[in-house]
Amino acid sequence: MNTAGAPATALLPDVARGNVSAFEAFYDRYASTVYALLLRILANADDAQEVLQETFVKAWSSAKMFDAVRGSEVAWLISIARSRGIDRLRSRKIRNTREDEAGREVSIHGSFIEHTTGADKAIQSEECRAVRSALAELPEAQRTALELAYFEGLSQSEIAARLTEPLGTIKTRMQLGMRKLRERLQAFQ
Amino acid sequence: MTHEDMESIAALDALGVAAAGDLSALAQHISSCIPCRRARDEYRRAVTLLVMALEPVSPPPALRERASSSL
Repeated sequence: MNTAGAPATALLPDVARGNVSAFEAFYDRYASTVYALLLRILANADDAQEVLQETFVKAWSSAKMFDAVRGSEVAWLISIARSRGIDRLRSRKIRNTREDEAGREVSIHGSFIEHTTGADKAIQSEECRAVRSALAELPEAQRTALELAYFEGLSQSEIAARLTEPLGTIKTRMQLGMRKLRERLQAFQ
Repeated sequence: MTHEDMESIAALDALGVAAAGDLSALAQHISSCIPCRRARDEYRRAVTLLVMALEPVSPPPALRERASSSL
């Protein structure tokens, strides 16, 4: 279930105490969001499922490290999932490069943009819709740079090389894009 | 580095691609700079919201049992 609406009661404190029922509730609350993210990063169901399991097992073992002052539990979980997803993507690329020296000029990368149903939108918070809308309104070149960074873990230099654009251009695009997202979010504060 | 530099690093941090050295500088800076700390938090929140706005995809039911049994 997508939980972008009203804040739900935090489950991680109980998970940190070793409560398996709390862990299962935590899984039920976030697994579909994390799985959607991992499918975007990895574009492969088997890999996404393996990393999904790794992510939740890591959350179980590291729950005591969670600090609510530094962010929400879903942000913490997404950070774990994204990091592990990128690690898997990189190891797969190394393997693929070794197996196929031809490589790829420009890979298909994950995107935040997609067609959603009315029902999906209805359960998203206004903040979610606003930030998403701001992203959709960005020039494609800005959005692509942000998505290459987030979904492929590429540095600004790597994005510049991938897109054969000057590094300064990429830096500017990313900064402008992120500022636009932030500005839209500030309207809610 | 300037506040603008720090804000740029905060944006890259939210995307998960800030350099380690820059992250250390940012952490030190925001310990005493409230506007840059706010920028860091808002950039992170924006990216988290984008992920939460993805259309959810239910994983195969067996994965839930597999995850629980591996604890």
